[in-house]
Parts: sequence; C-alpha cells; structure tokens
Amino acid sequence: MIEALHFEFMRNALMAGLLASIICGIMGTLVVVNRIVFLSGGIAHAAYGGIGIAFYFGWPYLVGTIGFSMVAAMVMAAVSLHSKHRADTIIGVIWAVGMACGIILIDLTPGYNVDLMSYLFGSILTVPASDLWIMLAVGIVITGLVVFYYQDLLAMSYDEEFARIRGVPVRALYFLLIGMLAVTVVMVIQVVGLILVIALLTIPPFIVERHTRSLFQMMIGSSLLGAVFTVSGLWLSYAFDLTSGASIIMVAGIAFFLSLLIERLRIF
Amino acid sequence: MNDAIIKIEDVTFAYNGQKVLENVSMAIRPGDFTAMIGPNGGGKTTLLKLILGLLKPNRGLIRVMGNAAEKASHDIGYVPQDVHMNRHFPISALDVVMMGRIKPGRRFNKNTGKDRRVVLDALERMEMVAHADTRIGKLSGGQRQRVFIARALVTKPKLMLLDEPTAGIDSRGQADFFQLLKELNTEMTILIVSHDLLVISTYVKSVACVNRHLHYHPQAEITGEMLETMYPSTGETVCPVELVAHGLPHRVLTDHK
Repeated sequence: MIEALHFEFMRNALMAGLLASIICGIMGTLVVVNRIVFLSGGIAHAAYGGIGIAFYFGWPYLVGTIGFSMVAAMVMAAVSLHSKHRADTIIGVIWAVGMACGIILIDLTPGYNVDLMSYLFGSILTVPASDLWIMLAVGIVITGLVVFYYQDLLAMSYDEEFARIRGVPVRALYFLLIGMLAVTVVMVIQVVGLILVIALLTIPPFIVERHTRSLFQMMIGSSLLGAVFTVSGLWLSYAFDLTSGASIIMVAGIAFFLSLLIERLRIF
Repeated sequence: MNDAIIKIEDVTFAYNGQKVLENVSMAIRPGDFTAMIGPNGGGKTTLLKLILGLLKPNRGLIRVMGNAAEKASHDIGYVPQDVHMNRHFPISALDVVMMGRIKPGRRFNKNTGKDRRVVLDALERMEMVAHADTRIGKLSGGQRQRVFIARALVTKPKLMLLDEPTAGIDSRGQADFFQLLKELNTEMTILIVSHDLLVISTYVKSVACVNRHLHYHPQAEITGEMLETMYPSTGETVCPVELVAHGLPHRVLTDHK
C-alpha cells in the first residue's frame, strides 16, 4: 500500500475516501436514526436527472445537479412531513422519474455521453485535486451546522413531539437536514458514486449504533469505521486489480454481516 | 370556570374525514389529578395532542393556562407513550432528561453545569441517578418512564400530561408509580391517559371518559353505567377486563347481551 502512495491519483483517492467517510459518517448517523435511508436513496437517484439537465443545457455540472437534487429533496421532505403514510410511494416515484429523466436527456444530448457506470460506482481513482477542495468545504460547512444545531437535531431525531413542545423549530430543522443531505449526496456521488454513498451513509452508522451512547460518539465511530472500510477497500482494489468502489462496498458489506452475526451469537 | 388550567370548549377533530372527537368540552381545575379513560382509538391520545398544541382542532376552542394551546406547551410536562420511542437510539438517560432543558431561541447550547445539576436532581428524585449514564434502551419499561418523568420535571411544569405511562409495568410497579404521581400532584396538575381502571380509582380525583364524546366526572367514582358506555361489549369483542372499583361489587366485563 505504501508504494501505491507514490502515485498522486492514489493519494487523491485516499483523501477523497477519507473525506467521504467523514461526511457520510456525520450525515449517515442522522440518516439512520431518523430512518430516512429510503429518502437518501431517492435523492441520490433523482440527482441523475440533474446530471442530464446539466448536460443537455450545457450548464455547469454542479449547478444542474445541486439545483435539481435540492428541488427533489425538498419535495420529498415536504411529503414526508405532511403525509407520512404516502411518503415512501412518492419518494419512489421521484426516484424513478429523476433517473429516467437524466437518461433521456443524456440520450438527447449530441456527442459526448456520460457513462452510467461511473455515476453508479464513481471514479475514485480519477478524482482531481479541485474536487477534494470542494469536498473539504462541504465537510466543514456540514460539520459546522451539525455542531451548531446538535441539541436540536438530537431532540428532533429522538422525540419529535417533545422537541416541538420545547420550541425546537422542527419543520425548518427537517428541511435543513434534508438540504444538507442533498448537498452531501451530490458532492460525494461525484467522487465515489451513488452506490458507495448509500453504503457509507448506512453501513458504518448501523454497525456503530449499538455500541455508542450518544449521536456524537456514533458520528465519530461511523466516520472512523468508514475510513477503515475505504482504506482497506482501496488496498484490496490495488492489490488484486479490482474496481475500487465495489471493493470498498464489499469490505463494508462483509463487516455488516459479521456484526449481525456477532449480535446474534450474543443473544442466543 | 375562568381559572381552569385546561379549558376545552366544543372541540371537534377529524382525521381523514373521520371524526375522532366530537363536541368535546371539559374544564380541569388547577391541582386536579384527572384520568382519561376509554377504549383504544377512542381519541384519548388525540385529545392530549390537542392540549399540547401538536394538533389543531377543526372546530372549537382550547385554552391552556389562559393561552392558546401551542403558546402554553412550554409549561406542560409531557410524558409520551413508551412504545412509540426508538429503543435503539444511542442516548443515555441523562441526555434524554437534558432535552427538557432546551429553550426556544437558545441554539448552540453547550450544556452548562447548572443544566447538569438540575437534570441530576430530577433523576435523583426519580431514583434513577444511578442509571444516568445507561443507554435508554437498556432500562426496563418502568425505569424508562421514570426517566421520561424526570425529563418532564426539568421543564418546571405546572401541568403534567402522561400518555399510558403504566403500560408494560407490573402491578406492584404500577402502585409505586401512582404513589409517585400522587406526590407530584401536590405541586402540579396531572392528566393521565390510561385504559386501565385498576389502580386509578384509588389515586385520581376526577375521571374523563373519552370515546369520541367526552364525559367528565368530577369525582373519581367509577359507576357501572360509566363502564357500560365506555366499554360496550358486543358479541365479537368480548372484553375480559376485570374491574375493581370502590362502591361496586367486583365486576367482570364479559359478553352481556
């Protein structure tokens, strides 16, 4: 692994993986305890529609994707606040239509076509340094917001009604949470791909959850565990010449099933 | 009855076009200890949420301590139903109680030493201080209820609302629990939702029967007539609940056609 770090793309890949782990560790903790994994998946897939729009109209990539994902995310947030029992259906529809929209717009765009595979699994080995800076900025903003609103996010996540009674602006906070999630998903997808985003948002927080006593510990633990998965996945992909995103996910997935197994053995 | 702590006038609430509460009126005096009883789905929890300002009535007026419900909710201590809480949530008993110290407009709140003292005092009073650092999911149902009461207490409430706090607590634990509420009642008004009459009649001062309509009984007498309006037994839904109430012979509610 050490000799691999002589290559700049390897160093960048490692940095991208670590930044993604930290951002996903923080947001994933909130996703898991608020049970909005499906909504996150919806945002991640609908974002493809944004990519299509950006290509078709020749807009900068980030304007199209962030704009489109943000609108889709806000609709999903509003639906989950107002009609909880319909939310999953509507998120499913936005999920599918966003994706289809993106593919058709890319079909209609003459010339260069984006590769769907790179959107799904990312291209962590070709991350340019400029993307690292953007990820770093996103990471700092998200960490800052989460620290600032920590008590309120905690109260809302644990007991929304009690939080409302105590005067926590739950609605605004929920939109903020979903907004941060949309930005996270779009930024991190660009680097590591849609599938890895979902994996990093869900697997580390799930494994860490039962061993922690606060959201804060869960965020730290998830970030560290995500980093372990990313580094070992990258090493495996380097050593055995495998697709890097998929290798990271496989490491995370094996850890997930091991943790389930260990939990089972402890119960019986 | 202008000095009523909770005043409900002619309130109707419908959920998806179905009336859950219809023309409900009630006034609860300060210092009262009221039990809300009634069948499942009869609207007890809905009424509680209306009083907390979490839901708005379709028609009618709700005043709590002379204010609109959502303005008064700060001074209400709320103890939710345990079954609705996420037991896997990574949070210690202490941090659950700390939530009671949240004040509107106070962001970025590092918990101060004073917050911690107030929280530990409340836990001490609930005899839960030894479990302050325990994860909430590891506590028993009864212990969790004590933590939720401690959380309600640190809000310094004038009114305490409890939603089926004794579900999942054994009958000995329930007696202790009601003894505790009786002590708290010397400082605050208590409104408790329950559908179990066993212990209530010994401790409460008044009873509100909720089943779409509301019948308020200023004394804690459980009358036979009340039982039959509240728990009508039909052929299919035989209610085998055994009820012991003062002034009544031991009754077993079964199929009475």
